Amino acid sequence: MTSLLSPLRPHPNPLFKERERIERGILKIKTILGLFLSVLLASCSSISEPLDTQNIQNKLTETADLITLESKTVTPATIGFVYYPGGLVDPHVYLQWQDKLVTANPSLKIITVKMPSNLAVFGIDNGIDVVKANPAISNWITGGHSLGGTMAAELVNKFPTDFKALIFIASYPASDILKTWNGAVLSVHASKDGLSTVAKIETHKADLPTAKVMSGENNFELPLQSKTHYFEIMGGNHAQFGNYGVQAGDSTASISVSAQQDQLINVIQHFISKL
Amino acid sequence: MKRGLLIISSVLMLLSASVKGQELSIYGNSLNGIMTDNTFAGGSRGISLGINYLKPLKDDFKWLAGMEFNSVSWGNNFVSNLGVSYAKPISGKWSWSITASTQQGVALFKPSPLYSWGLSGIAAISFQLTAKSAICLGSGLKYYDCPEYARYSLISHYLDFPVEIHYNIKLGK
Repeated sequence: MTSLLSPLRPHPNPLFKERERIERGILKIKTILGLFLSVLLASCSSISEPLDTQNIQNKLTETADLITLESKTVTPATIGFVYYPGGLVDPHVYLQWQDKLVTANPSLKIITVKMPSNLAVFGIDNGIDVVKANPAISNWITGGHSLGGTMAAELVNKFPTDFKALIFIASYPASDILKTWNGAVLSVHASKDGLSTVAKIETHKADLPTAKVMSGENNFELPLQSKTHYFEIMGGNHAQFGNYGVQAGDSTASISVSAQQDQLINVIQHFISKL
Repeated sequence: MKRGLLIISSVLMLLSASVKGQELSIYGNSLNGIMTDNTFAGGSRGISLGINYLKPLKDDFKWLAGMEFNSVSWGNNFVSNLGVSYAKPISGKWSWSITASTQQGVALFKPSPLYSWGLSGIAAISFQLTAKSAICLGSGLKYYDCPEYARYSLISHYLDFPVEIHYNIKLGK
């Protein structure tokens, strides 16, 4: 049966035409509202735990663009770590493990770069301004979590001599841009990561300097330069590299947040000490 | 369904009966930092995109209502606009305007969005492109605050120097 609203057989009653026009208008409004709501939902960032519950021990300062963690007692810092947060997460979600890392290595200053819309893809080069603004520090590391790590790799590709090392946390480069880079690379990933899966990390090994799979947190092959050391946290997942709860698409971890982050801190601390 | 059609038809009738002097203003702006909580801080802060509906109020005043999506230091924001605009012709196709508005909305966070608000004052100069459209360039001050974000960050409010570009369309014949 042909529909009364079919364009092939327009109904002779003009009221039906008017009704059809209004119905089409409503459909358009619904589509636009649906798209708009999708954009709003897709642009929400995961938030951290409140600062007063995080028990930060080191000196925390913040500007409109940066969050800085450094030792209260050991100054000035001699190593700078330019950190890029993961996509659509509030940059404060990493403070808990960053604070412990600074405590473990008081000569380290960690500067987390706030990204436009919390997406590092919109601020790839912002990290080099941090390096330029801290001329007293001569040893620079960069890295990040997830999308942040991928964009930190782009930063190193643009400024290869400004950084001595690159740290991927549940992350990998988008292409083989750093295949021949002579800096040191550390890649930390988790066995139950549902986003940056073990399979994806494995696939992208070909994009980075020579792969060395670590059997323990301190199992580095020296010198670190021109090598990529891979450390897998058994039972960890994607979201537990920060403190922001669960993430869509991620798998359930079989270890606690603190157990995962303690391993992360240890492996980074050993890596930095051997640079 | 019938009730919905009736409401939409009534709104369309009301709009068509009184569109004279009404405008839609589509705008984008670049937010440039002046101050954060306690310190002067320059640099690019983000961008905004929005749409306002303007309706004559009295003499050269119009009230405006609209919505804006912006990317600011803490992430993304969605706010409603409510304000007043005053416009005067200069000469020929040129005119100037001052707009004061308040924003109420949410900072887009998960699992729950956080309330955010703002105030802005913009002075603009307009050029009439056609009988029904104009382009405006403006600047001023914009203050925005996300009070609850102060629990998560050391910085939760900003004073910016926005640079705006508007495309205004007159409604009706």
